[in-house]
Amino acid sequence: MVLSPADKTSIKTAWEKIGSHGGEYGAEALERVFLGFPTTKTYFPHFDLTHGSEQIETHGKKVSEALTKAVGHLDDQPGALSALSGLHAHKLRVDPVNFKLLSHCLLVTLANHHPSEFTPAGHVSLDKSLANVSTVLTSKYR
Amino acid sequence: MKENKGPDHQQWGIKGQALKQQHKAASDTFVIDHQQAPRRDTMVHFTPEEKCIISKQWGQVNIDETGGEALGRLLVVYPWTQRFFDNFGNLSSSSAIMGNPKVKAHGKKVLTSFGDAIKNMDNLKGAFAKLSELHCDKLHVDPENFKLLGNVLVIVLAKYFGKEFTPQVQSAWQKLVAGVATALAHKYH
Repeated sequence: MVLSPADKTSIKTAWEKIGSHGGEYGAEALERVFLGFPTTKTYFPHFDLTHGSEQIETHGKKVSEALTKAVGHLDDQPGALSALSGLHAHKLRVDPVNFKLLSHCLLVTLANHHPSEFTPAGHVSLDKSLANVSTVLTSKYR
Repeated sequence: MKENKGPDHQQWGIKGQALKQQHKAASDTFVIDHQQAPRRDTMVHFTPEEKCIISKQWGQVNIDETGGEALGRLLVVYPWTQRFFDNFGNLSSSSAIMGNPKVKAHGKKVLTSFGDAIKNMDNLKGAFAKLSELHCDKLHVDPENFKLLGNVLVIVLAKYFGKEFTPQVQSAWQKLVAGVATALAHKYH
């Protein structure tokens, strides 16, 4: 999906607002996806999935850092996310449907913590952006 | 070697129980039917706690505004859904869509219908049978759109309820919107 200049501004603004909460939101999105879509837990049999788990916190930070990188390279996401793309394709092999589920929960988290800033225009830009990241991460699958 | 007298009820009973534990959070359970092999019962089951939180929060929802907000966002975020609303007038921008009176009115209609789901959580398929036929035969709406709207509604509720919209609460709502989407698709042919 093509990001317009307005989309890019929207996304960058949203990411600035998130500030230092990135890790916290990443962890919350993971918790939301595990509870809302239990099939996603099948990828984490080795994790302690209880509320407040250190593993979820750490993993949430990882996800958030990757997204921050993606936002910083909106014009070259395939390049910036190349290693992650390979990881997901060859090692993790997370079924593509799950990226939509996590993207949804990331949006829920953002809407929940920043309701007044989560305008319809911002919502669509973020949704597009997450869809693009998902596409990049599944681009080497076959 | 046992004589084959049909399903071994003892064995299936135990298996059924074990599977039930595993799939507690999922909406599918296995029904043991003595006439044939166990088949999937795809009815959504809500716990008393889930029913309680959903009803409670629904009581606090402004149907007028929330419906318009959810439908509006559907049309903004997934513009291809506008295909069903050619006669709605100006849908040319995000603000046009969100301010469009037909969008608001229709959103209210849709959400009012959703309220019926909440009164019939134990029989969503029954409650939505007629609407399902309508969406298939007259409106020709791809059921994928029900999932899109359901998720947009969850996001709008998350915006509105703030701290109360915990992951557990979200999970109950996800079950409901998935159940409604399935029920609306049930009569498609």
